[in-house]
Amino acid sequence: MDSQQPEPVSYLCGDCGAENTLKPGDVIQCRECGYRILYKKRTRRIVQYEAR
Amino acid sequence: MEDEEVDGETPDEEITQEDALAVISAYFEENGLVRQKLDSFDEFIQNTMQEIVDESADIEIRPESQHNPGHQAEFVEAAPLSVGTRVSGEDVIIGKTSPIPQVDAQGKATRYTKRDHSTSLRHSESGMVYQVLLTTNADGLRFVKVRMRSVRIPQIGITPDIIVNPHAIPSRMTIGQLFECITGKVASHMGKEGDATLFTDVTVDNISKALHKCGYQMCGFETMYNGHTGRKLTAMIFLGPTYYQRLKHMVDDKIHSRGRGPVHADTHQATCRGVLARWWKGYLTRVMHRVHVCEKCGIIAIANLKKNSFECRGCKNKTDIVQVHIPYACKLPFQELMAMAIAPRMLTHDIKTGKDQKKR
Repeated sequence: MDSQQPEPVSYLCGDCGAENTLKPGDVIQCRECGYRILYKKRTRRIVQYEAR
Repeated sequence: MEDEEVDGETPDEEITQEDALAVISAYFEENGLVRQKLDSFDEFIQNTMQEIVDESADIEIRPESQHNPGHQAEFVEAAPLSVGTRVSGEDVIIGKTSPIPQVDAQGKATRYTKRDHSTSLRHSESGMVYQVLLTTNADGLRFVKVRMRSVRIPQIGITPDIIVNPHAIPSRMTIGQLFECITGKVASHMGKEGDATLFTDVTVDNISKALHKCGYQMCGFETMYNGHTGRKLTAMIFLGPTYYQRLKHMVDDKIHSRGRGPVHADTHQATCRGVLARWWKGYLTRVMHRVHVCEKCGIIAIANLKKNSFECRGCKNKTDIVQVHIPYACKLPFQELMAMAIAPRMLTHDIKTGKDQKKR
């Protein structure tokens, strides 16, 4: 396994759209509005789908 | 009894859904259902998600565990599962572990503390991650919903020379347009005018040679690169200027509606066009229209009722203007005549003695 450093992941609030960074074990809740549904952000990697 | 039933059946009796189900269920009962495919969203939530939630609340969402393709080698370098990434058969979609009771049946301590309960994609499926939702349910248990989407790939297999809407071929004279486009490319590069009239001495071969002189490949194709990744496209693409004039279809030109008049009994819509036209004719003759007319020339003048200013531009007359009520159907042809440089004059002088406002 690789290093166990908990790398925070940022999520977007499903209600207000604010960005939230979550670490493992954090409560899933928006810090701005308290909404409990968070969405993951789109990858920042450059992706190209193979069109076969 | 049985004979009767058999006789009663016609040989070409329709196969109903129940028959199909009977066959299918017989098959499954015999062979044993290996895996039920849950495609309905509701079912998906009810079963899959509920299972995950029920089994253990201990869903660990660690970035490195959120996307690990089946192979260990890829596991290390793989980025976390995130929206937009590609996933294929047996990739782990949701990484989850549940604790194992530390003392097993034999009484010795187990080697591992946690068991893998990750949810992976079905081996036959592939696609891209469309949405990752993270939340807690009413009991405070964490759960994740991952929405997958299969990426559609054009099943053509060939590189098309040109992609054109087939509706454009007969009516839009697309052949000429293509010719214009390639000529336009040459013309814009050489800074000259070009004539793209069809059926003349100018041929596509000539243009191709001219393009070649400009430094292009014979057909004017250009190598293109994907702007995101920098990868070269397999096909070369033609780019060229096209001049066009926009044909505007505007609503006001097209409305043929009315609020009153005869309507269809069932639909409450205006009946046929003829009836509608006749109704409008009657309506327009009934509706009166107010215009301001120059007393000198009898032609409709400019009136600004807010500023209380009136002017006949032709006569430079700002005082002798009268207000006249005419049917709207009369105003309409008047303006049409004016557009054709015929002056329809409304002379008000001789009748003015009797009542002050009257039409010629």
